[in-house]
Amino acid sequence: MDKMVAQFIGKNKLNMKETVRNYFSFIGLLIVTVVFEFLTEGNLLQPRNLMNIFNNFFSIGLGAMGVVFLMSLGELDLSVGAIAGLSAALASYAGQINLALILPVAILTGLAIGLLNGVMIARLRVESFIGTLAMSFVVRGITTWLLNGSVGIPVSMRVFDQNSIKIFVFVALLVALFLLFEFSAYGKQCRSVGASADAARQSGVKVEKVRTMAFVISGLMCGLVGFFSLVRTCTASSKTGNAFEFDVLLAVLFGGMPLTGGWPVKFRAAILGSIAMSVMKNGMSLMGIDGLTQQIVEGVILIAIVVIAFDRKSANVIK
Amino acid sequence: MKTTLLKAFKALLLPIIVYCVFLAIAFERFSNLNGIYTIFLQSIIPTITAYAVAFGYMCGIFDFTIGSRIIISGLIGGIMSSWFGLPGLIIGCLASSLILSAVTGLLNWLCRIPSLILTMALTMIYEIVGKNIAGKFSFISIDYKYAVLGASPYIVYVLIFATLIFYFLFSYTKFSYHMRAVGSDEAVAKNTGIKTQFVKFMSFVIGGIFIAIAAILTISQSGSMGAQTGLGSATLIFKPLMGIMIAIVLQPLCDMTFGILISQFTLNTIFIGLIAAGLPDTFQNITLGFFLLVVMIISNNIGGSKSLLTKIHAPFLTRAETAAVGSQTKGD
Amino acid sequence: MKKVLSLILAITLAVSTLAGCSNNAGTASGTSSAPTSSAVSGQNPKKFKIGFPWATSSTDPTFVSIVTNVKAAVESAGGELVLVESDLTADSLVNNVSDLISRGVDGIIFMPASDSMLPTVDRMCSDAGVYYSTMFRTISDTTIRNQIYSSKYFAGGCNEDDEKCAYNITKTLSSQGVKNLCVINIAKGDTSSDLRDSGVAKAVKETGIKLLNTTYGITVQTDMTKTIESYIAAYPEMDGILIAGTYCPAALPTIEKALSDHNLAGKIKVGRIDFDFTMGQYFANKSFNVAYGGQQQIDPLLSTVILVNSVIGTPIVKDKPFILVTNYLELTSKSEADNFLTYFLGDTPVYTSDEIKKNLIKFYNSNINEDTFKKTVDSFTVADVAARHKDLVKK
Repeated sequence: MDKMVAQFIGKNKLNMKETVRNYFSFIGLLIVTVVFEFLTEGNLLQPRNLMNIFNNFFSIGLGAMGVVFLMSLGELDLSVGAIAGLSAALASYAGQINLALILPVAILTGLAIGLLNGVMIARLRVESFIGTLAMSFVVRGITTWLLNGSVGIPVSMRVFDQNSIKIFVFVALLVALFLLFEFSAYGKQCRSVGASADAARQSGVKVEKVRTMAFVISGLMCGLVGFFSLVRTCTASSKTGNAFEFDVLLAVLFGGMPLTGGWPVKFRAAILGSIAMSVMKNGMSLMGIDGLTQQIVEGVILIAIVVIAFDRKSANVIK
Repeated sequence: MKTTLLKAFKALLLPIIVYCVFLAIAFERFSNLNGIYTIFLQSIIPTITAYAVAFGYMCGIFDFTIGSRIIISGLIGGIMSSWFGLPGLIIGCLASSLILSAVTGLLNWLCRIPSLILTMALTMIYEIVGKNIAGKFSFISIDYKYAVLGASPYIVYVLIFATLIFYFLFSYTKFSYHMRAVGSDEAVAKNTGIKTQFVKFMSFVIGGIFIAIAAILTISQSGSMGAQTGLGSATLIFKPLMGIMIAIVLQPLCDMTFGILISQFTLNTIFIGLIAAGLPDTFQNITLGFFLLVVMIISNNIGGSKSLLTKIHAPFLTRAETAAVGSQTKGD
Repeated sequence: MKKVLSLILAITLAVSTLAGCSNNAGTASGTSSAPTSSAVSGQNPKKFKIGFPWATSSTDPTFVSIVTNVKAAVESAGGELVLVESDLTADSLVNNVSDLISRGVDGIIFMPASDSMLPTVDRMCSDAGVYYSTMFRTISDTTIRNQIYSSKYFAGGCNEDDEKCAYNITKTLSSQGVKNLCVINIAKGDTSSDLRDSGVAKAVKETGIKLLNTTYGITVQTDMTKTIESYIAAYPEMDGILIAGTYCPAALPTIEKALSDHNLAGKIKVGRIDFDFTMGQYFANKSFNVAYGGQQQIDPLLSTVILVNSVIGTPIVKDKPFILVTNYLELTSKSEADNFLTYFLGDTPVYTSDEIKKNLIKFYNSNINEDTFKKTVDSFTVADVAARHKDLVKK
């Protein structure tokens, strides 16, 4: 009897631990929000500040949603910032011909570089980490060379920076990509390839196609990030998208995204991580914390969150 | 012996070809011996940094902190040089680097989270530590008389010393075999009785020796060391990392130790070549990135070892296997 | 369950922010009427807040001194400085402006990343009724300049003639015997960097100097060493280096060390725009020859003063922005460089809050006008600051 009780308690303890881990990204977001709401004396969740949080997290959220697919394959994309930059640059030039070209050019640029990345990694077997890093060097160089300064678009294009449009676009993409990742055959294929490419191949999954597609999706989202950055600032410069790859990576890591890919990858990690990071940055800014302290706080919190939330059981080895 | 020499010559063809390309573009500016010697000297610090990166990399660890550790070590070494001269510089850099490396390795052991995440977060913290050490003006300068190691010919002696240590540690120690095994397949390595966590910890610590050497040379060459924030220090490792990738590609032809030196020499040839050709620096990034992509694509699809072909396809975290298998193939 | 929960949470956040934005306009428009009318009625102006997006995480001591000077300007009229971290890119600045507006600031001082971002900021500030002012940067694009200058909420600001400065320093180098010049500059696309490039180009054309190469975007010391050594290797005829601008830490010591290692220190003339805190020793060694700068403290200070005057309802110039061109100072000696280090980069601003209140805030002294500012700029030198603050600053 005692043994049974002990077993029950043990099981319950395990379940509790498991539950905390499973819902940690929610709990983490809640903790961050409550703590900063308290520390900012209620200013964090003021309606007008919520919009600031949204504007800060909008681009990172789009980028993070884009990389979920390739991260579920165990890949990384360090060229997201560079793609967003070139998309904005080419779109701004297109805008000088016809304003209607801005959006399609931004998206097509993102798609094209995403496709290049995909082909390079899936077909030409270049490792994603170094391949996308090299691609970012090339793309950034081209952007700087093309712009030779900065190029503006008419301020009337700010009409696309309206909150209602951005929220609609974000929610639409969120729903579409969520459904694609969690419920479609493609989403499942991504995770199965991430778990074991050989097993997936033997089950009939076209591994190369799945990989290529993931980079195309990432490129598409970067194109959109470039577009929205352009219509927000009405300017494209060589600094557009600067360090964006770090922001996206930090956001998904904040959300507890495993780097190993496979089935443990959850779409929510991208969204909740982006929100949590934006809430934290905004909260620290409201508190008047300087950039240096912000950096150290972010570092400590990142370690703390991942130490608590990281699913060590699912990962055979941790590297 | 003949085969080895032939292979080494083939590996040397890479920088020779690149050099010839720039010679054709800017013969007048590129054809002096001084230029070649400058390229060689400039390749030394990135080569030693790449040696530091290589230990973790072979274990399957990606370490963002290396740049920030070089900065902190250089700053502490710089401060200590004002008290104890050159020995202060060397001991300061070495001690601080080893302590920081041990702390990083220990945290990696205890936290049991992916090294990419841990080291990215630690970089954010280390950078601020560096900023505080550097003081109000965010930099520490050293007396030129203690900076002799950063100039020729001493810097060359340091390179020879570092290369020999790296070659020995990387090719002939039991630790190096364990390290490759962990990088190749940690689960299998664990089952064979290798203390994988200890091996990873040691890869941080041994890499720390080369970080210290890189820090000594950096502060000696520049005469000062400035703090970096906003993950700026992470950029210090991208070019050494590119060198490692090219060295991995060259592994069927030459040892990793010399492969890294050759690849850094090649990358620097491009750097100086573009300047000599009078091209704006925007072309540097384009050329470097393009060059790296071309080398990797060619090696993975035409040449390269079989193992490289099969392994490089694997996800990010198993990339160290490629190198490990490559070098084992060579060893066989 | 979790999937659905995450979706609901994300949508809730999105919808709540939508609800948030509907309140925005009303609140913002309330801000616009605040500062204008009641200014001169009492002893002190009404409390106000000035927002300042800046790279507070930068390790550069000049960046720290800029905050010190902006703060002094804001506090001179009893205001509060709201400092927010920014990476100073157009994206970040636009987000910062939006953030500051929602935090109820009455004015914003910032350094524009480009001309083309200004209409966006103007639209945001005009909609919210918040004054803004720019520092360091002029507006090169005529259409944008006309648009911004006609804005009710653009208070004006300071800038330097970057082109003229680069032109002058290149001519100075030429007069010192430089015939083959290599240049290091900030980045293509940066307004100051581009203007300095054209200034160099103009002087090069006029003096017959040969411009061998220009390198941009160096941020780490090892790259700086590499670049200088590459110059030495590829251009043996090089006899001058101009640092037209850089964000590389300890740039000057790094260059001097590279030259020294090749026994070229003192043989190759070195000039730099934007003062460096290490200049003194190199002037003494005669390995460093000329520096133009000093604007990095006075420009943000006066730009903020212009903004503060508008915010508290006593603009220096009525119905149009007040644009002030500050001068670059020229340094050629160790003593001047040492004074710069002591009096410009310390904890004391180049004009204290009391000095600003007395001499530059129209609310307290109605005689202050455009000429007062121009005279201030003309009399501003390192020696002037040293003389005024010799009792304030601990050496």
